[in-house]
Amino acid sequence: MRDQIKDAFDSIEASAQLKEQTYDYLVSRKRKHVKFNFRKPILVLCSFILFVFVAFGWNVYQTPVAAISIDINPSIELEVNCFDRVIAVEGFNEESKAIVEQINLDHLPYDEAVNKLLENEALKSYLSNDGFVSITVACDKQAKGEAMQQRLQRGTSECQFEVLCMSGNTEDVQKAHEAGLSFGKYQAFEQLQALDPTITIEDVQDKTMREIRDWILALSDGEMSEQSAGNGSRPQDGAGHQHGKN
Amino acid sequence: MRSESEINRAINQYADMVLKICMVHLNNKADTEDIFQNVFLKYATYKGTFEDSEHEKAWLIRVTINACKDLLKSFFRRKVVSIEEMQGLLSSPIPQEHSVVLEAVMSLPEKYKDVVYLYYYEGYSAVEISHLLKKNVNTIYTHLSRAKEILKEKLGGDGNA
Repeated sequence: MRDQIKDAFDSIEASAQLKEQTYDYLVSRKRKHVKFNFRKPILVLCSFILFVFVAFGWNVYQTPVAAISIDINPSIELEVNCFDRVIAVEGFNEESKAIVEQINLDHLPYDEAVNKLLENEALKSYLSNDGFVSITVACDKQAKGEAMQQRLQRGTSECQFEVLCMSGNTEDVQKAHEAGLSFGKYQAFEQLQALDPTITIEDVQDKTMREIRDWILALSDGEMSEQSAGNGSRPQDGAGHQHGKN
Repeated sequence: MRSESEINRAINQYADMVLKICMVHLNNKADTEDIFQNVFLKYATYKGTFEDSEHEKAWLIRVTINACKDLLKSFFRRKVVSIEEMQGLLSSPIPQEHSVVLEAVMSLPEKYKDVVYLYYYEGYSAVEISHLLKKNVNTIYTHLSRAKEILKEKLGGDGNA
């Protein structure tokens, strides 16, 4: 049986055509393979460069370089990137958190975002007839901070209520956040405290910017000192001295 | 990928062996052609080195058997044809008396085919076959003995090795 099987298998010989066909196929694959070898690393390199570029670009885009605090009471802060686009919005009390949830300001130019916010009906409802809005810009680059402040002043010039633009830096922002205030309100608190060192954060945190503003004006004019002889230095909530618009 | 001269040498040296294993399992011209090319493609792209020609031959046997078994499991397997229709792949027609023997081997259960080919034609021992097919040596002996009985029945003779 061994010989029978051996002889039978011996009769199977691959034709020259099958061998040639296979050789040609493999050689053509090999040549394609060589060509592909050039393309593959280039493709990988291009993909890597693109990935790095996109990742770096996204990182730059997502890095805040300035912040804008809009204070009425509610207080809202916008984080702005180097392309002047809003990348984050934060509310500092329950009212402002509710407004922030309603309105989408992400990726808008900051002046457009501020205007959109000031036109929001929910926010407007917190402004009385003599409404006062404090817009504070915090930026470590003084020139950029000033440019932003001017742009916001121009952008809000047609508002029906009084807008005061101030500026600060990121250190102020940090101190304000530690105190649980937006930095616009914190800056107003610092002005107030400079006039009367006994004033604390608790005294201002629930007041509107109009009330704080009036309180500052009252203390600056010396009217408060006269009143303090009989009533103490703090005005009652909601009863700050009105000094008209600046 | 291996050099063109290496590929050429391997095809000339092992084409008959690869074709024999393919024919035992596949019984189909198109499938045999596909597997034949794929085996040498795997050889051409294999990055490892062979210790000697025996190692290279054993590697090719294993790759061919595995490729055939994979195809047999595949949904795309084409229908089985007679040995005559495979003639186009061969350098010369298979004489009638050999066709009978080959058809008897091809009709064996799958698990016996490789053992018969490796033992009777390639001359491997049962121990070597057990290493090559990664099977227990006793299983190889059992397969050989059962295959021998079936072939004896089909071909006649005493079945002695």
